[in-house]
Formats: sequence, C-alpha cells, structure tokens
Amino acid sequence: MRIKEGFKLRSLLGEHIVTGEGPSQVNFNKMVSLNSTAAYLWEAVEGKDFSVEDLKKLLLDEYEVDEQTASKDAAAIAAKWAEIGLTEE
Amino acid sequence: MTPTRIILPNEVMLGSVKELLAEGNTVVIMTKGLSMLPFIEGKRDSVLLEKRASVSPGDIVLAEIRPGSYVLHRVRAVTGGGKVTLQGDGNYRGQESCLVGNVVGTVKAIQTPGRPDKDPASASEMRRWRFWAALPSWFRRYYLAIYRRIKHITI
Repeated sequence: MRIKEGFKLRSLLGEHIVTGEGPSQVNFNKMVSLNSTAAYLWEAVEGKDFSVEDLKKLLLDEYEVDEQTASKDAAAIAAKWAEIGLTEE
Repeated sequence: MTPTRIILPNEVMLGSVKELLAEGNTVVIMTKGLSMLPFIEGKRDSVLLEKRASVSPGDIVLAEIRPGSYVLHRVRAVTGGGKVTLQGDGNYRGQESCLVGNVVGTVKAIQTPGRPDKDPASASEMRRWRFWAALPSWFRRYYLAIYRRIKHITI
C-alpha cells in the first residue's frame, strides 16, 4: 500500500494533522489528526510502498513493544488509514 | 469513522491559516457568523482563500484587524496610503479598518454544499453585491431579519 497523492502531514495547532485536497490546497474541512506514533509511521512511509510488516518493523525499531503488540498495532493503523481513504493498494 | 466537527478558536486556527497562505498555499475554511449574509451563510458555506498581491473594493478578505483578531468581510474602500475599510455585507452599520498588509487572504470561491462554487469577483456576483450595497440600510436590515427567520439561521 501507499499514502495517496495529495495528503500532507503538517504540524498545526500543536497537533499532527493530515490535510487533504490538492498539493497546495489545505482544506480545514478535511483534516485527520494523528497521534505521535501514527505521525512517526506516516513520516517514515510517506512517498513509499509499504506493508503492515514494514509498519510493524518501524514500531519495533522506535518503541519498546513486543512483536505481538507491534503486529496488532501495525495492522490496526493500516486498516484505519485504508478505511478513511488515506492509503491505496 | 464518523466525521467530527471541531470548532477552533479563531486566533488559533486563523493564525495557522495566515501562515499557510503566506507560504503560497490556498486554504479552505468553514465560515461562521451572520455578518456576510446574504452572500455567505455561516456554518454552511466554506471559502477558498488565496494570498493576493493587491486588494480592491468588492473583494471578500480575511483580515487581521488587531493582533489575533480576524474578520472575513468585504472591502469597501482602499486608500492610496494602504488603509483598507471593511464591512460585513450583513452588517448595516459598523466598519473595520486595517492596512493592506493585514489582509491575510482573499476569497477565491464560496463553496455551498450541493451547489457550484461562486467566484465573488465574477461579473454577476459583483453586480449582486453592488445592487445589495446600494439598498438603504433599513431595507437590508429588515430583509435579513426575514431571511434569517425563513431560513432558520441562528448564530
């Protein structure tokens, strides 16, 4: 999967916010707020093809979690991004 | 995932909008308030803003009239010294003023759900505005009171 063209992670209002629409248009009506873990993963995979396995590895590299938790969290975040239309296969 | 409406304080959100516009982005924001009726209906219409090099009477602009205090109003006049006079189309009295440099962005399109976008600088929209602005203020006041009642518009 990969992050769809036109979504950009910005630091706005002290939060990690993904804004949609065109490359130079920021739509405050369409924003997704990410927590710091999701923002870390987003930055790591932005512009690349990635899998749930890649997200899991990134979580294991950065956080002190066991493999099972990382695997569960990676799958959950990939599913959420796909559900709200941030990623494509 | 259910969309959530988050209402942010103007000084917080519009500060970010100002930075994004200054960087050359266009920005879409939801409007609020009644001061631009009947041209912009708060909580229903969004506006697409861009930073422009100049400001002209008739433009609808987002302006910082005091540090951290913003209005989205119509430009009524611009003096040679760069002083901009603003007034909400729905305000029958009361004007604001600022300098050209305090104009953060200009409305390029008014977006109403289910309708085509409107360019406030188009000939037809400018005609509508000139007609509206030429009406006596008492008439505008009563018209808007009825308009709000019919459309159930509240703040």
